[in-house]
Amino acid sequence: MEINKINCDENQKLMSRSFDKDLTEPESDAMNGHTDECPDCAGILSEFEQLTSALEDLNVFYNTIEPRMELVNEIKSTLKKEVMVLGKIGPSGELRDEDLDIAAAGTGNPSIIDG
Amino acid sequence: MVNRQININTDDERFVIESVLEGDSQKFGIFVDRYYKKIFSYILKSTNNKTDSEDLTQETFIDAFRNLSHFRQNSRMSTWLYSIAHNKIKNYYNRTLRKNLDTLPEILNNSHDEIANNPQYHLENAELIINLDRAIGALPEELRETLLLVFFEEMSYSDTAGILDIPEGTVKSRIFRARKILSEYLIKNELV
Repeated sequence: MEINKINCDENQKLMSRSFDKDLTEPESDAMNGHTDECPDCAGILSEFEQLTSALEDLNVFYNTIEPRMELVNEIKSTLKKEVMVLGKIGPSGELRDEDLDIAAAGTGNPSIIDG
Repeated sequence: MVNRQININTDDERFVIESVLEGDSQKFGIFVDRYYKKIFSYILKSTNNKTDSEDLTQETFIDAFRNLSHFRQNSRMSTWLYSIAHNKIKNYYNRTLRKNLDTLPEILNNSHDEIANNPQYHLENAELIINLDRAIGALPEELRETLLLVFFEEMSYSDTAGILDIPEGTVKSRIFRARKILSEYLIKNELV
């Protein structure tokens, strides 16, 4: 049905975007005007609200799972090895000769990534 | 170890990147400190496997470091890291599915056991969360990857479009389709 110059399909797309705070004020007005007078769209809006609530619960659960404490140091340690093997990254991205020499000799002291 | 929360804006990030590119590799650790939990959490929601997510998180930062010279200065570091992580997830799925189709359901069930055994959730809520997670896992890949970024990572449509390399309009239509499918699933299975 067409209410306030938008049909139900268009309105439901606006409703979806409204949850992501993507609507302009006129779009928001059009959505509210249509939904107030359309029981079908009001029902869909309610379903979207319930879904959002359930997704938030799922997100809370996922956020309780944290990586091991050691992960951050392991990443930095791997990066440190990366620097030692490959040399530092030059300003334009090329490996610099002196760093390759250092890495090859294994005696240099390149900048290290450390916690 | 206490994780330091480092607040840096985009200009500061540019300064850090320039410093790293000029040879002060140590400064890249600022990005690791700031984003490793977010990237881990994003990957975990796709893999449902903590160990694999830690490995992929590490790979994401290594790739970012190796390719820092290709970083577009008008982007944000977080968006770039999500792009790399997104590719890691895609490769992971290709690898996992190709190697052993039988173990995938087992991997997916790991986190569901954790939910069911978590005293924080009463039975009804746990059932809802588990089924919703299962439904998200069953979504077509293009809907799932878009949904994860917008719903869980709270990315804007614009940033999501950039990460997935698709038009913003496609993000909107995918999110709409995902919402419709998931809300209909919850109603049909009397979960809400």
